[in-house]
Amino acid sequence: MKKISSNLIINIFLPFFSLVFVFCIFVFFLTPKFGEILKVKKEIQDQQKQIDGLTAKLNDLKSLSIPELTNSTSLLLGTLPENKDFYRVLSGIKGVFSSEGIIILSYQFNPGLVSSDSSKNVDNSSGNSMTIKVSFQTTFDKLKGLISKLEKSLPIVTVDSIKYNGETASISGSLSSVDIVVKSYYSPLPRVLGAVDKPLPKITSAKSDLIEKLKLYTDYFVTENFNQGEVVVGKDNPFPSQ
Amino acid sequence: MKSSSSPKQINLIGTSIRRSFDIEKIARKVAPFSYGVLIISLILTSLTIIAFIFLGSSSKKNITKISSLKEEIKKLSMNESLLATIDDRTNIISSLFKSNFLKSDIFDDLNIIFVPGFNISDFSLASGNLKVSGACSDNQCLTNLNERLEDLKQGKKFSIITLPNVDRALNISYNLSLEIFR
Repeated sequence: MKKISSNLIINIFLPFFSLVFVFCIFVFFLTPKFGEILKVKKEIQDQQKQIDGLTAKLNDLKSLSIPELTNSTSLLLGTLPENKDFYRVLSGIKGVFSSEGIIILSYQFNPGLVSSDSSKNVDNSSGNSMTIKVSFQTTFDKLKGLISKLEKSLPIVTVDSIKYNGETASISGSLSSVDIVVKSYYSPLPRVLGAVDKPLPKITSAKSDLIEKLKLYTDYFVTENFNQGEVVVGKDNPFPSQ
Repeated sequence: MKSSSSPKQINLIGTSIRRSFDIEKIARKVAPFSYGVLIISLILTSLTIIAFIFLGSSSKKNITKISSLKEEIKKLSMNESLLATIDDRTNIISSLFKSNFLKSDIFDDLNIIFVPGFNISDFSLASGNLKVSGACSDNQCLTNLNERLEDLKQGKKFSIITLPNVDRALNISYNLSLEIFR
């Protein structure tokens, strides 16, 4: 009977319990772990992609030339300022007229809100504009030169309309009165850079060409020197001590 | 005399013992299989544990690498901000250039219509459309102007060119107004 019992243990109970054990391992350990392994594997793949992206971004950032970037940024901020700077725009326009030897008779512009109540710039992806109407007298020949210079001046302005009133003006005629409406632009800077793993913006060849083109533009801004004499504040002491 | 039926076999082993022998016989056949399954499952379990440990450490390494890369990128955020500014400005400037054509080009078109004897009294340019008023001294001037306008139309720069009004004044000159639409 004892022999039968040991045989039973080896041949029946142990295999039975081993099968039960295998079943339990499959149900309670292997199946959930397989799921977890697949999940971790996917996570690792995603992480690898992120690492590749970040490495590429880091290499791109390291390869950038800081002086070149700084120059381009200052040129572009001079082309399209971040704030509404009407004095600078007006001074630039005046500079263009002076270079052409044309005297401005009058100008009219409406700067509008210089600062909002919230003291925050309103974001506008296509740029905000400010309109300036300038009246002057010139010949037809000079008008062309003037418009051409205006359109290639910094900060950028676009000529919205031209009204030329020349009674008997011909191609080489006498002075005629002209009204032009120019638009000056500004746009707030992007406030946030975005996520760290966001790819770097690409400066395409078209954008590089644009920067090269803008380098040929002229800034006619002239800082005016105001005569700052001695400023007398208040009155002489009416009760001088005797 | 031969008996027709086979001699009866008498099994002296008890039925219960016989059954246990049968079970044992089956069990002996099943046992190696079950041990095999057990060994395979143990190997699988250990491989799973190894894979889990390996993948976990890889994931941790990746997380560390990602955070170190992010730190390095943050150190170069100045470069990124300059690049973002350049990208933003160039996008806006190119869209402005696309939506606004150079008005100085209009003067080249005006030069085309300056035929001998034609005087522009005034012109206006708004939204890309040009309105010109002037006077032609004689019939020849008017014919030449018309030819130049045809040439201008051929250039496909302007969609419509109209002469809405031509009248002749007492001093024999032709007063005309011209509209050119882009």
